[in-house]
Amino acid sequence: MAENQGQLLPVYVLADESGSMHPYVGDLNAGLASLHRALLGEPMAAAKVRFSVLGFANSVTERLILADLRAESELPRLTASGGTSYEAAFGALLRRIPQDVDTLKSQGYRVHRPAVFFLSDGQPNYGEAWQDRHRELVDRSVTKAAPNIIACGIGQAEAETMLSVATQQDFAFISVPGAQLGQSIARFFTALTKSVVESGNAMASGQPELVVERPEGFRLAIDEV
Amino acid sequence: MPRFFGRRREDEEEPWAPPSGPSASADGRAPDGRGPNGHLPVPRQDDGDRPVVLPPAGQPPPPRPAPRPGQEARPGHAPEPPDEGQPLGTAQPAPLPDHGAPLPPVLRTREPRSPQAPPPAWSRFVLGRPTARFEAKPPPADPYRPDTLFDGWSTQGLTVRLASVRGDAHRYGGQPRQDDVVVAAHEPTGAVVFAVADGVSAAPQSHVGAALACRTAVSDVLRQLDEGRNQVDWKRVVAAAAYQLVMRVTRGGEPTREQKQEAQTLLATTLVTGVVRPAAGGQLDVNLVHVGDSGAWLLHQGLFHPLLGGKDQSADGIFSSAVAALPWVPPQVEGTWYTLPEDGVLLVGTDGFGDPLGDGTGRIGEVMAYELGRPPREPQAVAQLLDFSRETFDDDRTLLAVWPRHRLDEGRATGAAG
Repeated sequence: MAENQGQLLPVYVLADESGSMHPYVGDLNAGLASLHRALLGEPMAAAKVRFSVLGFANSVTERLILADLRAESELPRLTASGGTSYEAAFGALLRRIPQDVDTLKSQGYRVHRPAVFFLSDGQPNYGEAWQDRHRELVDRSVTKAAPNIIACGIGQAEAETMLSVATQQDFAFISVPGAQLGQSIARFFTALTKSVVESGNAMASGQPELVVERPEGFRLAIDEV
Repeated sequence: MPRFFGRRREDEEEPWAPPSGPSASADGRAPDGRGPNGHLPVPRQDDGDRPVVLPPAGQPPPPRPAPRPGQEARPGHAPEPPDEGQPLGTAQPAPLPDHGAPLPPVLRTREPRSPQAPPPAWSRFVLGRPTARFEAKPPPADPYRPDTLFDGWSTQGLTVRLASVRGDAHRYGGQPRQDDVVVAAHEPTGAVVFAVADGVSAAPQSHVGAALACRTAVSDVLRQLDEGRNQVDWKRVVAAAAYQLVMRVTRGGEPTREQKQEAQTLLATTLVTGVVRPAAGGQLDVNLVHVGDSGAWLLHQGLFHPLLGGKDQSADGIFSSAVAALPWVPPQVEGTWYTLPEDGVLLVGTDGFGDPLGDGTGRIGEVMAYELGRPPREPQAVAQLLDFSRETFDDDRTLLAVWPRHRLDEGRATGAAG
């Protein structure tokens, strides 16, 4: 271990860009812009985040990779068309996250466990075995840098789908109709960033807990099943 | 308008800058000699009533020392302020008064610092990409937690310097410094007893926990030394500190399970506590114990040798900031003994220091090793050193350093680098 250049939290927004997201894509883009503004107002947190945006429909489009948001004038805009391949989405993260963590570590940074914000209306392509890719991604014996996944159900998202995606029940949310989706996500994100980078209270021999506040306008998915 | 005599902000002009405003007047001076705003008066010219700031009487302008490693990273940074006794208000050489000749006029109120002016000598060291610049917010009023504390003294055999500075994240967010440090000399044994604590960020009153843990630990060790114990009972010390945190919640009552949990949630803090004594041949005998991830190092010949665990990446290569902390007490509490070489220095610090230091082979380690190889004459030098600016390292930082006293240059003052 040589000198640390800094401590970084890789954050991934894994956003559903399928055709069924068309009614919400405007809100999502507004949410990303709001998130960007919120983070610029938190220079201590912003310095510690490297931000990636991956859009998925039938395939995955890498729209932003390991960006320092302080240097970005605006975030990429999401679109909506095509199918909804969760398998492609989690497969892309499965390749991307270990590679990114290695990159940051090779640059001399200490890397916190990545956080993934999964935003979807919860209607994956029928018949896909996406759960296998998901399992590989979150199993720490398979993927050392297995991320924490916060699943945000949008529109009429099924609570059970969000619970299957989130790495803890407390990380699965479905949105209230008419909620200010963008602002909610931005608040959620900044709370998460602060939570992760501050030292946790591990108690005796417990593992670190990722504690996130419920975003305004969201309900815990566990309350719905 | 407030005036600052004897100290300046970074964005203010030097007092001997050419005048550009109206000449000052002593009008309105209060009968007690204070200025119109109640400030102490400044010296006056013989032939006028314009305030001036005089350089030290009878002293030539001091030579500028060679740049220090930390300064090389700051383009245009002014060198370290010279010898002690130099008033801060004259940190840069001013023209000597030529008796009989009028002194240059001086502004009564400083103007904003010119962008071209070199930063003042007390500005932060920048080691790498600096953190964002901002004005700190005040922490909560009660209990009072100063942004920075530093201290320094020597016993017959040991020289002690310490500093604790609020991290940029807490300065930005208006939170208190959650680190704390207590050090005391035990005269009968010649020992120095210390405790360093890092309040857990997630615990809202952890700054109180850190203060209580440090004071309790040092008190208990001093008591044991008073009792003539040869070996400190570290289990008792740690238990006493933990119990004090729980008592803070119960207000003296017998704690319930819920109250113990509440103490953990509210007051959690790491703790390193120990005793250092001068030993034969100018060496140091060190006996210490820790709960949580704060660290201790031997700095010897430019290398940092960890004496305690400290935080590190887990087996999966992912970094976690989670810590074990009082009032939880580990099942095994055993002190460890070290004998440090006569040209070594004991460093005890929180992770706000340990994390950026890493293994000490980088830029920060290089600067720390250079500056701390010998005790700086002025205790505030450690505070300035510790408050270096590097992006993403925004935690509170606390560092205690103990040298054998023979390492202190007690001849003519030579500045921090000695």
